[in-house]
Amino acid sequence: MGKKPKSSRKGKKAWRANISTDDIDEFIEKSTKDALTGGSLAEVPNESLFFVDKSKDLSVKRKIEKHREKVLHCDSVLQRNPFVKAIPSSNDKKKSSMKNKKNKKDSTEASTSKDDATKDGESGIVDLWENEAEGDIRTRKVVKTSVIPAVEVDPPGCSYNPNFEAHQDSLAKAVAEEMQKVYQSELGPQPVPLTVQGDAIEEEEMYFLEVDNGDDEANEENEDAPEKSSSMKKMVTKVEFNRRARLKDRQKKESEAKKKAEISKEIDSLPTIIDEIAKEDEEKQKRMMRRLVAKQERLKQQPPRLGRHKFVPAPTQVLLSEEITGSLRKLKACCTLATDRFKSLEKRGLIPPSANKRRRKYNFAYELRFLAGDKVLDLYFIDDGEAEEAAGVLIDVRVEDADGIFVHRMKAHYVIHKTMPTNLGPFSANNVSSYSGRGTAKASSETFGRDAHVSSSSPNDEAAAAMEEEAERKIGWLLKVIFAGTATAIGYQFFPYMDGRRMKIVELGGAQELLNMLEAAKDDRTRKAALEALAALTKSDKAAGALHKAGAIPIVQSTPSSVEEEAIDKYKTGLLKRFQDLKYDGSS
Amino acid sequence: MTKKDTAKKTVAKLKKNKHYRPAGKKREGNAARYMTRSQAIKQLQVNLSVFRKLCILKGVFPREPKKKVKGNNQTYYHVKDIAFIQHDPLLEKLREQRAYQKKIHKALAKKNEDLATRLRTREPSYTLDRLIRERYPKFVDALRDLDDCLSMVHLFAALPAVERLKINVERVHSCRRLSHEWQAYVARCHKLRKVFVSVKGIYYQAEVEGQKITWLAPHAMQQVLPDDVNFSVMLTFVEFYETLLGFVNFRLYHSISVKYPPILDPRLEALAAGLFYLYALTRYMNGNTKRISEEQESGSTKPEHTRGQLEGAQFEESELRLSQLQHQLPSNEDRALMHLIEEDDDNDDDEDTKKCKKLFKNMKFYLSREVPRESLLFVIPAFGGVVSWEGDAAPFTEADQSITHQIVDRPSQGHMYLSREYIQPQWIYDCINFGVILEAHRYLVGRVPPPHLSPFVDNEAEGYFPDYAETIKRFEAAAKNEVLPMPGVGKDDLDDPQLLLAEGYLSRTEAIEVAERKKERATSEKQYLEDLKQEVQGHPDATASIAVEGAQVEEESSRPHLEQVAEDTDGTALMMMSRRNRGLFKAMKIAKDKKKAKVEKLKQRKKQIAEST
Repeated sequence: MGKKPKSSRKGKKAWRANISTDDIDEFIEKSTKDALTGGSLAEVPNESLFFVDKSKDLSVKRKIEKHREKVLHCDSVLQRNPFVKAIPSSNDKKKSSMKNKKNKKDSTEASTSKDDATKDGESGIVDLWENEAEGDIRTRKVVKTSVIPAVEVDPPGCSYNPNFEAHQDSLAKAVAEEMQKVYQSELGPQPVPLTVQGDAIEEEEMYFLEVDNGDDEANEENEDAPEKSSSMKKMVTKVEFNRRARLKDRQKKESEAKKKAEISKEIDSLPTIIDEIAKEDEEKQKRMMRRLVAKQERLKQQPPRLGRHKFVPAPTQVLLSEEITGSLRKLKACCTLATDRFKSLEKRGLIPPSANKRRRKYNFAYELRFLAGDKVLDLYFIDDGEAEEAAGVLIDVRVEDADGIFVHRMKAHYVIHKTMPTNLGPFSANNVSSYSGRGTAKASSETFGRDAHVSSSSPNDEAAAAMEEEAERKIGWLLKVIFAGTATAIGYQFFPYMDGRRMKIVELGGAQELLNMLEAAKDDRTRKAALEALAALTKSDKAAGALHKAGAIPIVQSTPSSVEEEAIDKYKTGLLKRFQDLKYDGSS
Repeated sequence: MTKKDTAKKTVAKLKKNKHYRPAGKKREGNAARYMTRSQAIKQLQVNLSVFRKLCILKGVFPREPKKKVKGNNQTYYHVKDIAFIQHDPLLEKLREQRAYQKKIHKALAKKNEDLATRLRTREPSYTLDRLIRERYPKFVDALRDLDDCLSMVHLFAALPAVERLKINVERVHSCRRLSHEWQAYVARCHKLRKVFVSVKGIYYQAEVEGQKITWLAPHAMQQVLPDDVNFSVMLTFVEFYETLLGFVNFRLYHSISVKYPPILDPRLEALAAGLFYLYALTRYMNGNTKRISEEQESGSTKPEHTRGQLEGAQFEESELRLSQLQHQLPSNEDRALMHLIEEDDDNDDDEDTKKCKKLFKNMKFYLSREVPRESLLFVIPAFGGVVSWEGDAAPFTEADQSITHQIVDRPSQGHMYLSREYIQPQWIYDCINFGVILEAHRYLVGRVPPPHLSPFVDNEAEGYFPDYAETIKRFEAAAKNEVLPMPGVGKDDLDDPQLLLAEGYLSRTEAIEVAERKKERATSEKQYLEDLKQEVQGHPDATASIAVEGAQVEEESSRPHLEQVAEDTDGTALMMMSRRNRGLFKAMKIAKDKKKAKVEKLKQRKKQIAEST
């Protein structure tokens, strides 16, 4: 495009003033006026002027107001005004043409891709492995991270209707796992106490303490220093010097001779040294092998340490003996398969194990307390749902609210004995996950037995409970020592209010084992321990029955009483009394 | 070493080290080979959640270096793995998505609703096809890794849609659809092998293209979403697995000449959202192939009428439905091809498949309301049975006289038909696992059925047979004998369960034991002959016992020798092995010993129980 030849700028023709702009001015004036005043109604689109009123029952005004959106003034200013026409841009044409081109290109692309998709099925799925033989795609050797299979099939004991032996096996494993946890919490190192008893030290004294310490150290140093310096300063006479030199010489010779003798001795004993080295090597080899084997075994069970947290396996899903019904309809199945899959991912090392976060937030914290008069025997923290369930049975439900603490005293007539809950019915150990370990709450969630026992209302019930606890701690140790390692043995642990567990111990053959132990015991301590365990077991009526069947009474009767251990007698009489209470005659 | 060599080496070193290495960065060792997660995130310039997602999608997993340079509390990744992620276009795509999300956020913050909606319509998305092809270069690879995929998809099919955890309805539905499609394929091709109902869920095992695929499906009950599960991680896995299963299903469906995204007739489709999707699918698959064969025979253009007449009134309705599908079927030529393929397919079925196909043949099942319907609707057709249920769209009603078995799980039954057996669902699973039709009287209504044994335990390898397995084995042997009575040794073997047991056990052990068995058999034969002789002679038992003793002595004298030989060979082999292999061998031995001890324990316990009762 050539430029226009420049014409002369001289002359009136070129004057801008001569061009009339009246019509333009008029138009601008009119449009601005329109814009400011709202303009002539003829130009406004119909929709903005009228609307169809469909409302019938509500007053029109209210409805309009309800539907009218509030628009801020600043927004309304920025909103598009229908009276102001957009000013055409100078390079509009160029842009639009480019856009068109692009659009066309896009559309063609889209259509071709669509064609591809529609060629083979509507969804756009194609056979990925159509030409797998060619191997054209860049692939990467997939590193198998773990030897653990993706889906581990449960052992046969976890069947919904298991074989008896297999079920016992799985049950024992599950109990062992559970007990392991208990042991870890009970026998593990005690946490550092948050508070320590003792008198507070006043601030002034604290200063003194520090100063005293500092002084002592400084004094010691001062005492040491002058001695050293004095010895350094001491002069050595010539005689002394010579004597020392001689002594040194002699010592040197002696040591050399000694060394020589030793070497010759060693040379003589060369074969034994070689043997020793060989033995050492062998030992090393063995150790290596052991380590290797152990690692292989370990990798079959759990992933390597991949992060901050340790992998914690999911508990075994197995039915309790009383839950086996043989009917699929009544099956109490596991409903947290998501956990299982997640644990599997962790176990195979696909994701680093995460922390065990089992904390939930509650608006309400209920305290569930078992009272004996004013004294709190036991205390749990539960959430509202559980509190509701428990409300029918409990003595006291203390509600902590934003407003304060107030106590509900509910249905006291349900309580037979003052100290113990009679029947916690719907409670189960899993339910009480909300238990939080604040200072006074000492029990773990396991102590919520499924069916709490109705214990005799003797006045020293408290003492009995305490004793039981003591016994379980001791017995746990003892039995662990005696039957160390076997899975069934870990099943002996005694907790108050746990009939189910007591029965399980009996089921696993624990009672028989204890009786055998009592019979064969040689020293008093073992006897005492066995008696203690039996006493703990007989707290459950069922377990006591089982013990009776196993022939406990004659064995207990025949136990010799001893002078040193008074407890033996006490337990003996207690046991026999218990059996009498339950109408198991000593004679039978 | 000459001077020249060293010079060469230095040159090589210089050449090799062409990249810039920042000061302080290690050249070799664990410090150079591994990096911590935070380092990786910094290098990739993404946030943690995106990094997690990338790792899962690309199949990059943390490793455990021998020496943890940055401490024990860190998660380590291999440098090359991170580089592998860095070079993937997916990284750029995810970054783009993030930037786009920011735009939407901004629009929303400025209360610009229409901009936000406009932006939302054009969100950038990504596909995982390439990644799947990359991670599973061959179809077999994909099949090998399908266990986890199937379990996850089956799980998510049963989860409730929860907005808080971002489990949306579409995901759950697509998982359900995919799982049913897979089940339909397995059922149609009779690939299912084992089923085990455990407390956790139901384990299935299928054999597809020679690969054993095991998966775990949840029980039909409300699933709980626990707190300690990171669902964002699970959802990423599911996203990948969904795509994978889609492609696998596509391939499998095409291998049996069925169109992949299956098109179902609209009436069933409405029900398909629920339980009957599977049923609709199986019918779709069967119908597709059946119709084609019909057409070939009659040569008419409207086969549904002829078929309708042939099949009787019962199937008319379904045929009508199928006729709706007609337009969606491939052209004539294709059909002929498909027919051929179908015939071929029938021929090259392996032995197991043929067996599975015939197990429930000529049996008609009816499911009561209370039995696990979804599982049984999958399992029964997989073994050649015909099944119906109580409810909508059922193919036949309870009153149908041709029903042979009704599956119930309630204490008492109202009206009982004499022509059919009323059994518990466990019967189906046990029949499948043992591969025979068991006696139904043990599984009758109201009875406690015999224990449900796990088919995944190899009794022969374990060396311990539960009671019920033994009885079934005997039953099986008896059944076999009836069908094909074998003369001579074979029959003898089958008659004696003890011998059979021994045989089973020995099939797994080494050659020495085979020799042992031969010896045993020889002695027993001898003993038998002698017994016969004595019987003929009219001697009392005393001599027989002496003879037995003699045989035993002989046997014992021969056994140590054999064991000695075995030990010797073991020793030499041990010497030949590498250290690592030797370790593995020892581990194996230890495991074997453990197993033996366990079997012993079980036996002892059983004896104790027997004594006490």
